[in-house]
Amino acid sequence: MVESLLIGLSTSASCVAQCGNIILSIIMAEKKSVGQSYGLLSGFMLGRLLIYSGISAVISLIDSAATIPAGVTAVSLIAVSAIMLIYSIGKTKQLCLGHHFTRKIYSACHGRISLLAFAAGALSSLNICPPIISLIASSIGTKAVFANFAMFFIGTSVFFLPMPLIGAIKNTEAVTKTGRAAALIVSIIFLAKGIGILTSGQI
Amino acid sequence: MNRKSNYWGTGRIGKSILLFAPMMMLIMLMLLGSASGGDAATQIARLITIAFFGAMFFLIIYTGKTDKWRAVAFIVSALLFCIAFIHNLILERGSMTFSNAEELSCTIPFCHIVTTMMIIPAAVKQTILFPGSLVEGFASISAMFVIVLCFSIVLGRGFCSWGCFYGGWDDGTSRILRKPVIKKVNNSYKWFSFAMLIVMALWSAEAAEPTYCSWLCPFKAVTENERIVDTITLIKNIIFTLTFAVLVVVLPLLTKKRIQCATFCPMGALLSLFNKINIFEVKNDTSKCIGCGKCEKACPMLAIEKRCPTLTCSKCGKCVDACPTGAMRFHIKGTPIDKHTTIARTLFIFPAYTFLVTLCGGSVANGLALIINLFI
Repeated sequence: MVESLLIGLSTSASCVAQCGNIILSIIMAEKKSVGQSYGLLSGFMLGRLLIYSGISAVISLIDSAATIPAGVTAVSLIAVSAIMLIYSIGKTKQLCLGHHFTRKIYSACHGRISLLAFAAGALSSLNICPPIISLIASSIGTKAVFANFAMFFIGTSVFFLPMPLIGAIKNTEAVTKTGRAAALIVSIIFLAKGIGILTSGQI
Repeated sequence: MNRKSNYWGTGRIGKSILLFAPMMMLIMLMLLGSASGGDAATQIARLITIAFFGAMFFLIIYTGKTDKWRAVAFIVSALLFCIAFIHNLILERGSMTFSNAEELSCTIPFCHIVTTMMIIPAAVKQTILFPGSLVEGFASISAMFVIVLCFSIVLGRGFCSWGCFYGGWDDGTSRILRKPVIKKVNNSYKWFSFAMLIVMALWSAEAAEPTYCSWLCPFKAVTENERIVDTITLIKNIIFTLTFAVLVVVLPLLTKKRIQCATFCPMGALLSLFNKINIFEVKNDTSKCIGCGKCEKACPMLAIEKRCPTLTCSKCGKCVDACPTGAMRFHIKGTPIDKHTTIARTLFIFPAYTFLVTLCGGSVANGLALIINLFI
């Protein structure tokens, strides 16, 4: 368990780099207080926790490393991309293609941004990234898979905690617009990654 | 008599020469100090370069037009830098292209933009992407980092209009047409560069490579790029060409704005933050402002909102030149807005212009020597 915590702490830079983009852009784009931003982060973390619990359950059952096929990772990345795109475009007043469609989906989620953050957290966790591989490798054959994943989750979450503090910045318009733009860029990156995995069949 | 013609008052030429003399000495020191020998073309190129930079500085001081003459020096520097850079690459490596293996072994040059992608890996993983064993003739990454940092602390985002050897490209294309085809560009697009900064810094840390350089940099099209060996490298090269064509040529041409610098460059966003801590700024003296909006229209960086320069101002001086009443001016923070205007402008221009010559002077001379060699 301690080893899993250390894996989480030592590899969390990678987690923040990958998933931090997603939640940071959402937090920045919402004109929320620090407290409300922590609410969004909680939704995101809950999504991650749910998926980690699922993965650990699968590992416990089949005791194998081959838990997430490349196709699932690719589809989940594309789904995250779609969520971020809808989020970014749905919040923007002037837009080009797909404006009405995305606005409608965004409107359907209106007032439930935490739900959006939750979905983004869950989908972004369905990803074979270096920290997860390290954790799976160290967890196989052990009896405390759930506990290992829980400790790993805590370890990787530490660096997410300061993110909502960005809500304390006074120039909210600048932060909001930057956040929406970041969501759009993240969407494009995840889409490219997903398509790359789908076409090559390799992660 | 208009504002510009009595800029220095009586004895304008004498005062201009007095200010020009120390800069000319600095330029000569920088371009001749470390030079030893060289063929006739090199010697001629050095003399022309000294005369060129000297003349531009004198005109900035004498005419009171900052942006007009700065832009000439800046654009020429950008074009000749690329010529000299490509020539150096061909001499050292035999080609403008590099392989993935060469990138991994860190034998390719880099520019200041990579600084934005070093932040997180350096802080969290104690790893510097693009470590320093580089092609001979280029600065080490630590030297580049220190130069950019020092300049940024002193002059803020002034780097983007007074030092960046890429900025001259879209500064140049944005001046080709007399009037913009696309007349209105939303100022909010400038925040896209901040999003680029955040995403690129995080993405680079995750991918352990300078992702902006590897995937998006428009200037790869005119400096160096990865050799096309598979689909991925083909896609990368298509992206480089497209971003250059769209962001550096077409959009600046149509909008008369520096679209790449204002909306896409992560380095520009990082440098904007330094505007907060350096003492120089461009400020509007509201008591003289008549609200004509010419400053906002002229600003190529989308930095002026409600007739006030904001965080992303690159201190190019275009709004200062455009202002019909002299309300827009260079200013030292903490001093009265209506006093010491000339001193503030001069104090800013001296270090800024020195930096331009330091960073680009050698490349301009080398690029010029190559052109001269074509004719003799």
